[in-house]
Amino acid sequence: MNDALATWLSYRPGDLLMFAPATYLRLFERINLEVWPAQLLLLPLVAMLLWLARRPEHLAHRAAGLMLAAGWAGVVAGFFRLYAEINLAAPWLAGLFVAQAVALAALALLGPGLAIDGDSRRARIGLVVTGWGLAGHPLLLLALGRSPAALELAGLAPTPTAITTIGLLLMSRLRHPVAWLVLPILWCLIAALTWWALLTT
Amino acid sequence: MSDHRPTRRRLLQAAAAAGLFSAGLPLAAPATPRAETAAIRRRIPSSGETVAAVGMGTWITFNVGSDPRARAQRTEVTRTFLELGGQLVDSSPMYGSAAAVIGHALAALDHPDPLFAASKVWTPDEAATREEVAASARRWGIDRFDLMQVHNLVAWEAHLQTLFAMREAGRLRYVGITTSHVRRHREVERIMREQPIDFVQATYSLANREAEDRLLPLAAERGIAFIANRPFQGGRLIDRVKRHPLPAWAGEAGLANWADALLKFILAHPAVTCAIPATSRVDHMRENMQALRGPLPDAALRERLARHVAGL
Repeated sequence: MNDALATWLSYRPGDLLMFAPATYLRLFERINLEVWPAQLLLLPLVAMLLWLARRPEHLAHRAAGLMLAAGWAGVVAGFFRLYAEINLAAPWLAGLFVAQAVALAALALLGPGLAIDGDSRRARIGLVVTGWGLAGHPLLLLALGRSPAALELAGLAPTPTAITTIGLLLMSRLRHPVAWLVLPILWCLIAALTWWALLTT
Repeated sequence: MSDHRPTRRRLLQAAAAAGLFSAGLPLAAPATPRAETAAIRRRIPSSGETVAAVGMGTWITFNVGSDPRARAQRTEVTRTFLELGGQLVDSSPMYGSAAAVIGHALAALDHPDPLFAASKVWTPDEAATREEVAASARRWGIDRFDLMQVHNLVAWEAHLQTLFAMREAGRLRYVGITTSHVRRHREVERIMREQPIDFVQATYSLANREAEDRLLPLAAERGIAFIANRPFQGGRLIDRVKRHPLPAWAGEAGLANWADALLKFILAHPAVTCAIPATSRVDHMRENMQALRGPLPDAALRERLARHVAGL
């Protein structure tokens, strides 16, 4: 077997991470502390986004799309700024979020924006996924023993932002939202792998 | 300038070491009841300088970014390490923010004197050796490293030549190479035979004894100091053994706790200069530094420890 390949295969998942689980959790604590009490605006902002997305005006759909793009940009400015201090790969991962923010902004400014309806089966699935991103994900973490200070919230932390975005895109009237789903789904896989590696350390 | 020509003294030492190795008997006093003793110091063969035999690694444990709470805690870990006689601190650019966190700790501790600063060059850019050394020194807040190593043999040929030149110019004191992979041992051996390095760093622990086959005897033969990395297998080994009590016979032999036992197993090999466990906790650092004092296990006790741990 090729030496380089054999060397890589000899690593356990935890060996590939350069930070401890506690250090990773502290990222969420720190970002939550930095922006507190802005977390209280999360639900009102999401409510506004959904209201705009259900309006008939194209301008409202643009605004909803830009709000979603701003959420992704916010994660870059906040979470990934701290993550880059402890993970040499973080700048590249942040690039995924920059790309998604740009794609969503392009959807808002050059395309139909984010318009949603709740009538189709896909939209109902999207509603559940959105609810998971906004509430289910943090509640699950609480149930698993995560400190409230370290909860992951949409618009601040990458994973609930990605999940919520997947849900909103499924709810949208976009016939083929695949182009905007790729990066959020990719991030969810990366996050799952990261946690798997952390749990095996 | 280090003299790496074989001398009569070195050849005699190598012959003695080879003979002892072939008998599987490391040089160590028989275990005696624990008593207060001087810190275990090992000689760096190329200079004769001695260094405390328990150092501090910083992989993962010191990569905490700008987190003020974590930095304060790592400062206390470093303070404990130095107060208990530690000297060698080992890091690398590969370890993320560890170098900056070390620098923060050293500044908070007012740049303590007995520090033996060891870092690594980790870049495939063969022209960037000096730049990387300088960047690391800035992060540590020091003028000069004691030891600079080529990390995992990345672009080692070019980096070593530059590091030798820097050593000649007094810009650093010692030059070394590192590996964490048994598969690289043959290449490491070649470098040890062909290059005038002062240090070699490789994985050696009670659970990873491959270095005993060739690297450790070669280090003794060539007068190269040996740093044992991953003495606790990145935490896995010590987490595993700590689920069980330290055997009474180990305590009676003067071993205070599992960290002491695992580190003294390593230090009982006479070719080992320093072991570098990493920790983020002050209480664990205190346990680790117990290995700097007290009796070393003899050959029989070493093997008994190894068999016991294998059976856990």
